[in-house]
Order: sequence, then C-alpha cells, then structure tokens
Amino acid sequence: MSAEPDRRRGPWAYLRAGLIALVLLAQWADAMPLPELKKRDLDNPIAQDELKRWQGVLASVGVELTTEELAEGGLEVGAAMRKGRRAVLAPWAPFRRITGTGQGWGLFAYPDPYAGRLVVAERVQDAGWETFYTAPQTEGGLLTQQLRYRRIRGIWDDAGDRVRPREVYDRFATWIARRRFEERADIELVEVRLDLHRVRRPGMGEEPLDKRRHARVRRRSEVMATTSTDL
Amino acid sequence: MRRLLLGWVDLWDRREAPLSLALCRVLLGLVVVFDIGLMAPLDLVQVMFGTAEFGGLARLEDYRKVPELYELVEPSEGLATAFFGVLLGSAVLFTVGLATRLSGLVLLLAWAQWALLLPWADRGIDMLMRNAVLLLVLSGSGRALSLDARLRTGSWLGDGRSVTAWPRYLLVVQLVIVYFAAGVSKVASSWLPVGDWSALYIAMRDPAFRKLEVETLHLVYPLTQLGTAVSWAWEWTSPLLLLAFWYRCTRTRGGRLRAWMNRTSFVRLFLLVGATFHVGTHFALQLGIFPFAMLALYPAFFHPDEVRRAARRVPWGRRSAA
Repeated sequence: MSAEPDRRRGPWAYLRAGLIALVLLAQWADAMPLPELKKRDLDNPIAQDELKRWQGVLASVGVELTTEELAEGGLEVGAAMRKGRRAVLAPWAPFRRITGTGQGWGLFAYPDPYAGRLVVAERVQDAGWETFYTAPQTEGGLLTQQLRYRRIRGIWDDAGDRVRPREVYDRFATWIARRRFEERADIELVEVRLDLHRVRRPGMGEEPLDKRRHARVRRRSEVMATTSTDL
Repeated sequence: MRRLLLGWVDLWDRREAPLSLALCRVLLGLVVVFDIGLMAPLDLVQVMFGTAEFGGLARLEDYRKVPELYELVEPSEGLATAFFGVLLGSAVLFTVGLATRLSGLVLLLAWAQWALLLPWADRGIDMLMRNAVLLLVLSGSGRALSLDARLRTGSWLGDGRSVTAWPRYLLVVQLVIVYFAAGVSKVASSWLPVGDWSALYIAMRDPAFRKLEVETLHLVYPLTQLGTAVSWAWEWTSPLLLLAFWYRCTRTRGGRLRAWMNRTSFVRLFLLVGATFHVGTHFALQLGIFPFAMLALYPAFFHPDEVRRAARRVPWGRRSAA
C-alpha cells in the first residue's frame, strides 16, 4: 500500500482524514455481526437446533441453562444491540438509502439443513400432474434458465424459503404459472412449491423424503384474465 | 499522539498512479454489465423492473416509503424498459470509462433505486459492488484504462499524473470488513468442530446452490470439512492483511513478526488462498457472479507499480505498460 504522502498538508487533508475516520467507524459499526435476535427468528428450525446444540456445549463447561433461558437471554441482548446500532447509524440512513450502500455480510453464516427446494408442477389435460422443474435442475428451456438466474433465485430462496413466505412469493408463483400457460395450451393448473429438503451429514442416518410446503396453485382462467401478477 | 494524528492525515493524503483503481473499475464494470445485461436475453426486464400491474414482481404498496423514482414517474412498461436501459447503459459507460464519474454516479443511484424496488432480488454482493462503485466514482479511476483518458491525453494510461490513493486503501479495508464480518458471523455450530465442520457440505447440498451430485458430495465430505475449517480461519485472520500492509510500509523497523510477514509475502499468500477459495466455490456452488465480483476488486490490493510490473510479464501488456 506504500505511496508517497504529499508533504504540503492543506486544510482539506485534515478534513478528509477526519471524515474517513468517521466513515470507518460507522462502517465497522454497521458490519459487526451483533446478535440482533428477534422473536420470529426463533420460529426457524435452525434456531431451535442451534439452541439445543449450544445448550449442550454450555452444559459441558458447567453452565446449566434451559433452551428457553438461552433464547430469552439472546432476545434481550439482541434488542439492546439493535437499539445501539440503530442509534449509531441513524445519521447515515438517508445516504445509505439513496446510494444503496451499507455493510452486512453473512456469507453462509447459517448453512440451512432445512433447505427449500423449488418445485413447479402442472396439471395437464387428460394426463394429470407432471413435474416441470425441481431445483437444482439444469436441463430445460428458457424458464429453467430464468429460475436459475441469481436474482430470481433470490426471490424464491430468500423471500419464499422461510416459515411464512413474503408476499412477493405469491407474485412469483403467478409469474411462473403465466409463463407455463403461455408455453403450453393444455396446462390447466400450475403449482409452485418450496418443499422442505432435510440435509443430514453423511453417517447421520437416512434423509427423510422432501415434505410439501408453501404450495401456491394457479388456475389458467385466473392468471390469463389479467396482466398483473397480483391476483 | 500528535505524531500518530499526522501519520493518519498523511496516510489518506498519499498519491499514486491510477492503474490499480482503473483495473478495479474495468473488471467490476464487466461483471456488472454481464450480470445486468443477462436479463435481456433471459427476457426478465419487465419481471425485474416492472411493477405487479404490468407483470413485474415488485409492488409499491408493500413499502412504507416508495422508491424516490416512483414518486416522480408513474409505473409503466415503458418505465421498466427505460430503467433497465439507464442501468445497463451507465454500467457500460462506467466500464469503458466515458464520462466516468457521471456514468458511475448514475449507475449507483439507479441501482440503489432498483434495490429499493425489488429488495429480494438484491443480494449482499450487489451492495458490495455499489460500495465499490461509490469509491471508484470518488477516485481517479477514470484517469487510466478509459475512453476519457484516451480522448484527453491520447494514451489509454492517461498523462501519468497521480491521483489520491485513499479510495484504493478504502477498497482494501472494505474487503477486509467483508471477510472479517463474514468470519465473525459464522457462529452456526456447523462452522465449528461441535457441528463436525459440516457448513460447506450443508451449503453445497442446498438445492438453491447445489452444483455437484449428492454422491460426489458424500465422497468428498472430508474435503468439505477441511474447506470449512480453512475458510473460517482465513476469514477470521483477514485483519492481519492491514497489519501486513503496515509492516510492508515500515519494513526497516525491527520485530520478528514484521520480518516474518515481509519474508513470507503474507499479503500474496493470503490473496492466493482467497482466489483459490473464490474459484473453488464457483465450481462447487451455484453462486452467480459472487466469486467474480470479489476477484474484480483484488487489484486494489496491489500498488500500481506492482500492476505495471505484472503487466510487463504478459506479451500484450509490455507495450501499454511501458
């Protein structure tokens, strides 16, 4: 990183150094992964698994806590952390919004052993139900490529793969259904699901079959009657 | 204390050739152009930029505060197409370095509006790239490897005048923040011995990211455990990069750690592990542009003189780096 400093320090050099110090402080405060646990986070099966596992770890070093006590403590610390961080970052909020900048880096912080698997099935005239797509399927036409595009994957993996999917997941289901209805005239119904796919480590026993979850069924007559994805 | 403060002021007052920053701009720009441009052949423009009534996935009623663009303009199919056009156009101009600062600013603001419109499609890597674009806009990254430089000076490398070095330093700090925060946030037991170092295996089995067959993943499970432990430790040690840079600047001073870090080229070793990690995850996981966007910022770790020396080693670089 070596480079020559300009020895004629002007007022701007001091001001810039001060501003950079402030920016760095705010960025570190934003980036630090503080345990900002919320009550709804505990609904997640991974959180329940983690509580049990950490209860065991603590017990092994002589700290006896129930999972409820552990969760309660986590929620209290989480609320305090959230409040503190919000106070530090409040002056930057308008700038962060308008530039879409910030810090918040998880990068697989919690690999999900209760993953969601996108499945698209369709009921075809005189043929019954057929599966059109099962993640992470690669073979297929344009719609398969669209479903694999990272931003579309973000919609179903982020907004859909949760205890209660967000509203955008419903519109996503309508969009997929429309694409299929446009591609094939003999499809009557399209079902979009995020099946629960349980991942176990090798040697931890047989994995259970995927469990149907978050199914959204779209009817041709409803979808094709409008251009909207908001049914 | 006074010496320390003056040292801080001097650090951010340094100047250098714009080559490293320019290279970051070009590489990052190529990733952005590819990623955004891909939506046209995939026929995703209306879906991603349109609102629900026009077949898009976004719905303005979902937000407490509507994105500023939609306070000025009514949603329509035309707006979705124009929005996409502005985003892609500004990304192209920023990459080739034409009206670099202005095009970068337009790219940043339009991208941020899009993130507000459809936040579920905006990933962590998008925010990192916007952070980088902001720093590149504030820097002299358009003074080399750009049409601006070519038109103004007749040379792709510009007129040889130096630019402020602090945006490059902040890019380095940004990458260290990303890696370190990612390491610290990995508190799930699967990243630790208590969870059998199974994190990478679990991530690689997730249908949203899976690239390899399940049977293959079973076979290489011990390797994924090793990868989990190494990547976790590597991310935790990332702040040492800043120490290594400091030691490099003060190599004449004493100290065993300083001597060891300088002797072992700690920075290069760290970056080699990082590059291996990113390339490896590209082949093992469905991560989209993530590895490429991270690697696009790696030139920031190198002083422009190092970039120039490296360019001289490749036949096509000899002439331009001369």
